[in-house]
Amino acid sequence: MKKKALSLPFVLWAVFFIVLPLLLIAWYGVTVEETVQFEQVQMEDGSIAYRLEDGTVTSEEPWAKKVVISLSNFKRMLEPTYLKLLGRSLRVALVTTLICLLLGYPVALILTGKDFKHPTLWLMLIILPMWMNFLLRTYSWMSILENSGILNSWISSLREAWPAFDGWLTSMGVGKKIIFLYNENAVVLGMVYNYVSFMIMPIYTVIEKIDKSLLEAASDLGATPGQSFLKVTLPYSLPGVLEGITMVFVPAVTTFVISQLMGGGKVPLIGDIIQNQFGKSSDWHFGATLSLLVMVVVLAFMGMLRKIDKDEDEEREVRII
Amino acid sequence: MSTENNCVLSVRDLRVTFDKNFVALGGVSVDIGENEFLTLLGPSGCGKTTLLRCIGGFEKPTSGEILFRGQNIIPLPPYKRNINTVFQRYALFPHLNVAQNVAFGPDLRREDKKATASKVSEMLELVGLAGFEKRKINSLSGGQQQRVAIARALINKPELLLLDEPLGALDLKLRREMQLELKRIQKESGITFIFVTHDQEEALTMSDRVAVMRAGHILQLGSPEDIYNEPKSAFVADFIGASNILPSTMVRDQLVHFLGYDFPCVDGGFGENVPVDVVLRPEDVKLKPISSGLQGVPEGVVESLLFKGVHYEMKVRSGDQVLLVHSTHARPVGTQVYLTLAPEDIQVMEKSDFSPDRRVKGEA
Repeated sequence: MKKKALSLPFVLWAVFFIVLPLLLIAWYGVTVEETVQFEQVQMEDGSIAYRLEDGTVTSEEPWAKKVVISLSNFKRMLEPTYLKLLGRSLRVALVTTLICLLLGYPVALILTGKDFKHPTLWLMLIILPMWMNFLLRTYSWMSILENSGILNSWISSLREAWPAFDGWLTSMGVGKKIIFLYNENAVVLGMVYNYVSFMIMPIYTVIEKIDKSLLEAASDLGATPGQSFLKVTLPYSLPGVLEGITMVFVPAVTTFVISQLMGGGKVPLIGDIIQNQFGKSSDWHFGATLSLLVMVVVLAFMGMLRKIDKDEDEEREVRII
Repeated sequence: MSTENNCVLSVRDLRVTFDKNFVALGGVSVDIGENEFLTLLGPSGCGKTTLLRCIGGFEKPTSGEILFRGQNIIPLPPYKRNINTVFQRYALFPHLNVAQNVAFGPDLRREDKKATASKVSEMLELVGLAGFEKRKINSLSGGQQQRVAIARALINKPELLLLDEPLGALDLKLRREMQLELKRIQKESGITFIFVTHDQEEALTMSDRVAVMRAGHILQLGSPEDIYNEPKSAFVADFIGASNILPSTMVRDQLVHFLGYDFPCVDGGFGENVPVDVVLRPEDVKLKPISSGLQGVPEGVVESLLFKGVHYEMKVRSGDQVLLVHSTHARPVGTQVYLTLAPEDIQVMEKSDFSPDRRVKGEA
């Protein structure tokens, strides 16, 4: 009884801020707003009444719009325009996740190295930028990469100082200003920068916890450092890798700010369209339907990861020499 | 014990210094012979594990040599040494089953799978775990895990097996069993064992030779009988088992003075009227009734009496000394007795910083 009472605040929190919003999204997702057609008529007694489409007459002015349950938004969602956007979102998120993994794993591995000094300090340095506002960080990348940005001004001063370099760049067909921003690569760069620490942290935590005597035992039994990595470190770090993938992929597939800033609106992702429905287009119903779609995609992805994790576990058990 | 030609491992003046000023090993030299069971015995922090880790390749010595069949192996990483280790907490791979753990070494060398499988069964049989191939590591008891760790090391046919307090986590009964088991495995496999422990009974039971270590040095190296019967210092005597260590004076060769009387003994070569220590094993101190009317031997009073199963343990005060006495014959507290000692049971040692009259109060 006492325990139940203690959990009450959380239950309330969960109901009001998780369950209810989800139900609302689901409700908005399966409904549409219809404009109600009606005409004003003069009744015999001189009063004003309203005749609806189906012929019923009412003396009260009806609402101009009504909410009806309809799956038409689901049909609309499957139109090529939106599926393409979803496809691009998935692609960008997967590429981002892959790059984060390729960058993050070695970093985590180096930080946990036996001879590496001050790993916590370096970890701090990696996390430190994350203390700054997310928008601010993205804007700084823009000021580096934009047409009149820092990188371009460096390149042009290099060109002036070094004609051979200028000639080579010109012969390669590179214009006076290099356009870094407003394409998919720029969006990926922005995402990798913002999310890579979410990859490093879980992998670092898992590798750090591996019993060092296991590595010593592997070495003792004849494993070279490479073999020790493949036979001990890698299998033991897999849960961290899967967690890192989730932590990067989920925000990457749903973001809209990075694609708006780094993509300049030229690389809209599914998140941008959803945001649009709640903003400019003010079609909350379609926005909710798209949200449900993304939710299903994310859930499917996480289910897949969990299955990989499980299969690995089972494989570890049944693998026979 | 070991001459040049049958010496497997030779440690020469090995020094290890941690953090520039902590000396873990202060110049250790020891030769280990073919098929020998050598135990490094000492209290925690004496450097025994450091020495073992240097031999295994997990610690880089500051100076000195480790010759393995005549070749200095210090530059070699662990995976290039034909030496295997049984780690203190076994370090078995929890994601692999018993057979996979044991086959770890052969699999790394890409040996034939079928041959490996039969070798694994053979090894499991040797350690008494036949049929345990498919079991998960987490489902095994401590003693079983320890056997798997031994099988995993032995399957590689090392010329030298290092064991780092492998029995420390086991209960007393299991430890006794495993001691005999280890000794049997060592005899059957013909492999040289270096065993690290802080348990003197374990060391005496299993070893061909024991090296008693303290503060980074080997104090005494010899057979268990030598170490037990003729400790060279008060520390060894004290560490190897319950002992009476008394401050004494060497009157001349074969005559030592303590407890107010002169005792004939078998030791000599200390000089005349030199302060020394004598070690008296509790079972060597004989109590005689006061009615026997002996002359020239110290008297004592029984201060406490404990029944210990095989024998009684008594504390007997004589003058300002209290002696520990083991006897199958109980004497009630308060009984007046004579203390007698056979000359060969009196072990005379040079004074050291561990001597009773130099020891800092509270250390014992």
